[in-house]
Amino acid sequence: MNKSQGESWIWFFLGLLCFLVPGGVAVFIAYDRGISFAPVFMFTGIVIWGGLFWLFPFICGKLRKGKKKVSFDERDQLIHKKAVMVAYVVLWLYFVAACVIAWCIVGPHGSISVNVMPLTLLGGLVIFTFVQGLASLIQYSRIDKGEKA
Amino acid sequence: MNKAQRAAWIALLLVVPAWAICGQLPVLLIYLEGPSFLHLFSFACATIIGGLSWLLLLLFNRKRKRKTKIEFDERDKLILIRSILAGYVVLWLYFIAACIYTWLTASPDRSISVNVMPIVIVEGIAVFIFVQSVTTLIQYERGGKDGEK
Repeated sequence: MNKSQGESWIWFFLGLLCFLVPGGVAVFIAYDRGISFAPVFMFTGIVIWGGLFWLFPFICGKLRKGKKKVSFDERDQLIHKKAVMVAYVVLWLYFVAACVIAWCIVGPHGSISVNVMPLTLLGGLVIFTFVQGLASLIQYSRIDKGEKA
Repeated sequence: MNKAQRAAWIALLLVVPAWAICGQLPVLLIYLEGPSFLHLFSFACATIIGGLSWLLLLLFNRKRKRKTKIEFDERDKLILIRSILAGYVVLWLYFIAACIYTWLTASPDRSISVNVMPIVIVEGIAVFIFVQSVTTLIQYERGGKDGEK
């Protein structure tokens, strides 16, 4: 198991809790105590950090390019890119499904709580992280099998 | 100017304004006539095709790869993937901005029309296509005359 594969496993289990719990808390605080700087800042930070965390390995890879020890090579980059794209496809389908379901449940003249939108975004973040971790693990396991055979 | 650059210009000048204006049509139809299967199906199809049109492009060019004349090489693929990822980064930030804006304008204990969600998604497609086209054009421009076919 290489470093990226290990990170995928960690991401797979801990990533969900890292975003879902604090994000949910931020929405609850805003709902309970009214809108203020702290919950909005907390929510924005979590969704930006969580949703764009996949950029981190690329930035690190570019910064470390001069060093001799390569921990994130071309193959890892390709796997990472593919996993991100698969995760985005699923995320998009989730957003479309969320819209259609809300329409069916409430009806086109109905209304939803304003908190549904940030909660939908948080759900999307969890799905994105989950699918990205899963897609990375599947790709690494496929390559490992190919290497052994 | 190669095929991908022409497609990016067409998307930028025609597809983006068309999506931004006509994309609201299914939402309006559902609002006026109620959520029938046909309307919901057309909305789901339009948003899935609009948001994942790049996937069709990748699959189509993979099939055409077997032919002797190569019109979509590795460099084009790399540019397409980079522009898709850039598009998704901006799309994610757009969704966050939309959520925060509705949170701030309507206080957390209030409700919003259920049609806000599909409108945000439809406009998200226009944002995505716009960023994807602009980054495609910038990357080909950076490639210079060597990249011309």
